[in-house]
Amino acid sequence: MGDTLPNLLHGFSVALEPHNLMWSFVGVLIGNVIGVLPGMGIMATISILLPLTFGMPPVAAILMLAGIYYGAQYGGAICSILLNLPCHASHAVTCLDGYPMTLQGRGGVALGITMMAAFFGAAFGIMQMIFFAPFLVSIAFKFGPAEVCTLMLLGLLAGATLARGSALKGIAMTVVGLVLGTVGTDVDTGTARFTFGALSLYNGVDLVAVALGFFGVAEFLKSVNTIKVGNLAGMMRIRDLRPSRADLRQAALPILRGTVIGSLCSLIPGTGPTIASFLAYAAEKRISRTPGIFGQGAIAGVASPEASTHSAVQADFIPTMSLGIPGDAVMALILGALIIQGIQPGPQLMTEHPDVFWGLIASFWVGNILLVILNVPMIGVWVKLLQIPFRYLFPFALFFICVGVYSTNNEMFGVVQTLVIGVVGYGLLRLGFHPAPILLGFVLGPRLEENFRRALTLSRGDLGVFVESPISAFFVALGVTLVVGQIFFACRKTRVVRDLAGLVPDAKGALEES
Amino acid sequence: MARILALIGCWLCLVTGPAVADDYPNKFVTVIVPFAAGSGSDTAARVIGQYLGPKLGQSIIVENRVGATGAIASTAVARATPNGYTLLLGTNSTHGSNSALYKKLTYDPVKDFVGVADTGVFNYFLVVNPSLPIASVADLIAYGKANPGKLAYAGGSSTSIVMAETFAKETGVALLKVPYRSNPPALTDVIAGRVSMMFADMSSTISFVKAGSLRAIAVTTRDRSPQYPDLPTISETAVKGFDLASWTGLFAPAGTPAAIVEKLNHEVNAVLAMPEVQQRLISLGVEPTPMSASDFNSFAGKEVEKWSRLVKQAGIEPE
Repeated sequence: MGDTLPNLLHGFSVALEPHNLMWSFVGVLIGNVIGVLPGMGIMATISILLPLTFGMPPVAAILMLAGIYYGAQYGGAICSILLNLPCHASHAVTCLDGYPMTLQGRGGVALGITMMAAFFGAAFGIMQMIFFAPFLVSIAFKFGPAEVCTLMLLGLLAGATLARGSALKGIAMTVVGLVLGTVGTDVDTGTARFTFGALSLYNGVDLVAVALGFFGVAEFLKSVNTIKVGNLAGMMRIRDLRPSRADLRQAALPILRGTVIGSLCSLIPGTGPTIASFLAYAAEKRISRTPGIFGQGAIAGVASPEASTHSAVQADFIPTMSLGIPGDAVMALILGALIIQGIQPGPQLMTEHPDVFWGLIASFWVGNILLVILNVPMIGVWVKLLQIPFRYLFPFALFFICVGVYSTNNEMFGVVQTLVIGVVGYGLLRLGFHPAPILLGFVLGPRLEENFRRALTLSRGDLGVFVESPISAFFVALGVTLVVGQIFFACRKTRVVRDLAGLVPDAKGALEES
Repeated sequence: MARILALIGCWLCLVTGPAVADDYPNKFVTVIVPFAAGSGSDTAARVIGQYLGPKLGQSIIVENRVGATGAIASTAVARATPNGYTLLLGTNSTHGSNSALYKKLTYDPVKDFVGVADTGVFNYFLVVNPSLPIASVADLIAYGKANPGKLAYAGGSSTSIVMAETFAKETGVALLKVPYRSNPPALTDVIAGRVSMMFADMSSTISFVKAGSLRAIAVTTRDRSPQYPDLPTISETAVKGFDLASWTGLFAPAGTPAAIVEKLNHEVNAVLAMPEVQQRLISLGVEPTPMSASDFNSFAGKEVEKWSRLVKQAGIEPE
């Protein structure tokens, strides 16, 4: 611990070497551009650029690749907010309130809040990595199948009524998401479920296809019918580009809460930024005194998930770098890049290669500051995107979606999948079903099932395993409170309505008497 | 009309036929890897591709087609034009266990392919949680017999599950199977002590073994690993003849001209002989095992038979 500051200073001296600084900048710049392009995967980008890093020194290589990863997150929210097009699944939930804000002419404000949430979330994630990595890693090991299972269950309970509108429809859509999540090879038995013999479905329905299909394509199909000519430019006023003091006050606490949720999620293996953003949004809506404004342009609904995503992205590096256990596929790829460079990731990385470890942390600071400098002046430019008439913008966006989805596995199947999901999503939208809970069920469901079965396998079928550990008992208790509270309030509401209805005839009678 | 077409066909054969091997390759060569970028087999393919490119005078493009334990990538290559420009990085999954894992495989690992070159063997460790009183394979067997129902193994891939099931069957120790989608979460649970043991490839476990958070008690190949000569094999301790490891090798679609196969085999073996390549592969946990194309073909054929048998013995139902 005492060595932390000298180490960090050493890290800065590494990160600020002109050569390393340059590659860091290249990384965040590429990432930022990739982030804005719909569906263009970080995975695909990094694997395309990987051969380029073979000839580079290890530190420069890793700084660049990491820069792509967190740089992409800065661009990711832009299309979500302005076009209701989640370029990355981890920003899908931002659509829910970001796009309504755009429709109200406050897209610039939403982007401004996003930048603040991003920087704050990232900064918190980095601080965690500097000061608490060993402690957090020890917590991560406490999350076994039972804990993860109950956490996912809590997320589903809290998030089922994620979108605005009827709770029943929300729950129905969550179930659709859960069903969609069962497609693919079952981990326990190896049985292929609902694949209809298509090999491409053996690994399940593609998350990118689900996010882009239900949000992007479905929304486009809907808009084509409703907006005849013109564009959204009329909705945009210049003075609205900067968040006001009142906006900031509304965003402050959600940013803080989102950050904490994000950084915790990233520590649990297999629970990356996407799940973090959903949990943050669900939690925020639960806590809010005015849940009714969520889905209609609530600032908290943008600030919290964005902060959560960014802190999760940075904190994702904690298990990856200090343990050598990658949290998701992108992290695995970055570790692969280290191995190609002849550096063995793992618990010894910090002591054996302080250049890499501390240089990377210092580069996070440099990179995030660069990203803010790059992006804040760009907000005005991005908003101008909306001035492009839809008849040009939509086909272009669809084109990029197709290219992006294709690049995730070099298969036409992905493109078809996205378009089919888009058409189904359009149908659902027309019928008044919001697709957001589908994504929630799709993301959380498989983890819930997998960990539920694993927990029971390990406990030899004893259900008590879910309440034995304090962590999972806590999650179960929260879930029960949530459900009981919901039922209680629902009952009271109907009673109040009934009482009021009962009062009216009495009042009538009283009037007649007098 | 038919005659004209036939003439054109003959002319095409004459023009392209003999020239194939001489000017091969005259454009980039695509190697399709059936697993995600960053995985062990992918990283090995990229390292080899990086050195193979300059030798062939063309760049090597590594393309990842993930899914169905490699069946998607294998099917794509099996149907590709057999001209040496589309190759598959095959493994003991694509040319081994898949034959028994699927009721109807969309490719024939033997008939649809011609083996080009072996690129190396991934040796596996048998690791246990260090809090258990187990320091050797004999300890493990004794512990398992003394505490029936206590030992569970984490399976991060079909290869690792087949290894564990074969070990359980041969030693008579009952092991509870706990499958995972991939190695990282499986390793986490073994390190945390929720699961007792695991068969996992060297590169993903070695750092934990060095740090003391996992204990390696054996390697899975017949001979000891040159990198860890102190670690006994399972064959010498408990199960005579236990020799399982995953491997990777390059395959071309059946019908690829023999001259191209020979040329590729020659160049890949030359790459594998380069000290810096060897050093890089060894750091990945890969032991390069160069062999001639015909040796590799018969090796692959035997592996298909061996892994199919093991999968069936392990009681994994075909899908």
